[in-house]
Amino acid sequence: MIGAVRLSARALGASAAQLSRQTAVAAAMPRAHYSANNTELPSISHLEFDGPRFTAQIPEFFEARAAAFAARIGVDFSDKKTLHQALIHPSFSPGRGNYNDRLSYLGYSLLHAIVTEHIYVTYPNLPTHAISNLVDTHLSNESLYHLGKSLGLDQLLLWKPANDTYALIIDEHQRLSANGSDFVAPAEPEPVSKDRRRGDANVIGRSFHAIAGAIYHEQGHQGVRNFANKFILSRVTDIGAGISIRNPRLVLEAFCKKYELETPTYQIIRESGRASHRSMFMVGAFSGKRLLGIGNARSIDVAQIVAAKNALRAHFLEQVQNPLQLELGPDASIEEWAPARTPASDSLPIS
Amino acid sequence: MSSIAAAKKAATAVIKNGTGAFVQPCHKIMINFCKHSGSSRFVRNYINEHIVEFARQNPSIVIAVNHRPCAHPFIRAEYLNGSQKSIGVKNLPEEKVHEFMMFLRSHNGSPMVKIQQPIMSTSHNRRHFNALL
Repeated sequence: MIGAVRLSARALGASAAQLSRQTAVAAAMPRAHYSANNTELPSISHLEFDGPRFTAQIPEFFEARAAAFAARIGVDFSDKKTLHQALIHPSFSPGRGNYNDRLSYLGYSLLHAIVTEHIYVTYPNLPTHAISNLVDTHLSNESLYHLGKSLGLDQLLLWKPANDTYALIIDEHQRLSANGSDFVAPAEPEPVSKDRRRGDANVIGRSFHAIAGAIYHEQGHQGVRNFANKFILSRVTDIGAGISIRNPRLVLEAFCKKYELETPTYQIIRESGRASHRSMFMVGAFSGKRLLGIGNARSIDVAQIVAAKNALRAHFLEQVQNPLQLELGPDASIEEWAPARTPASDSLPIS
Repeated sequence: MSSIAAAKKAATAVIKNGTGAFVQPCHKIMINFCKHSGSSRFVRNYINEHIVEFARQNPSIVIAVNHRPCAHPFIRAEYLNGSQKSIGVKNLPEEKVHEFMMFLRSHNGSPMVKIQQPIMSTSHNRRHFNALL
């Protein structure tokens, strides 16, 4: 880097003073990439307990619970203050210290990058909206709320629900009304359900991101990746449910044109009770002699739609066997596209 | 609602404990005992000799030991699903106390359900079965 600067400066005929200034600037530049083995992170400013009023709010066993949580997620924190900071939400005692918002933003970006990369590499044919839906399925606040609950994060996190803010407003109202003010208190907000407090999905979801940020401080990028593999990507998801296909027969025709296959035709493979009220047709979508997909329905038209949908689904959900060995390139094999396997059953609602 | 939004709503991530990572459902065990009374004597021995080893073997469980004078000893466990389970251990020998500790540690926290049907199925009813589907 410095050598390159020096060369270009000489080529431009720069003076010695300019040269030395440029090399100094290049040397002072921060490193753009952090390597996994040699991670250099800025030290974070830890939470400073702001007097007895703050510490009095922290429940007993907080540190023991935090240590148990660290054991539960399988991370050995050398600096426990990093974990403690990730467990304190800004609503806990506003304006009194450093909370988990910075860690949360870091973890949000890291987890989204890791999950998106995993889906992008594993399912190379998946449409963009399905990737987006799947990432949201894994990382939405509601999804991470349930995950955080299964790890005991909700019992550990320090935060204040919005209902407590309402209590503060009522106190203020009583104080003002004693002084003769005409301040009108708002109506009390309804809790979401009996065992859920207002805003807990947002708070626990974002704090889950903060845990990932704390793991990044402890173990680097690979640590967050292991954490995501272990807890987020291991959950059972119906990937096909996130795919939306409008007018499947047209889309299938377009895809066949794109991959230089013959125009799809639909043929009845089996049928029963054609003239009755409970008729059933099994229709196959063929490109030449190649069977692309099978659809079962009560009418031929709907069965064709289902067959086209199943063919597209089988194409979209084509999975790379070993994503780690995949070399991303434009020369993805077209010959392997034709879905040889037929779906066991069509789970599509027929309407 | 657009079809993409409908598809987004349909997709869910289901947690299966044990795939990817196993999380111990028990997160806290509390032992209440009396320092003087006779019904707590084996529990006191257990706390003196074995509780540290138990805590070392189960790092994901918070162990709390409380002195409650003039009361019979009991063990209470709390679980991640919000439930708790208590067992009285008055006059019980140390082996029995340890057995109950292990039972509470291994418990799921879900209530005991009597299985009425000998066969359970997750698939659809056979009444509307069609051979083609």
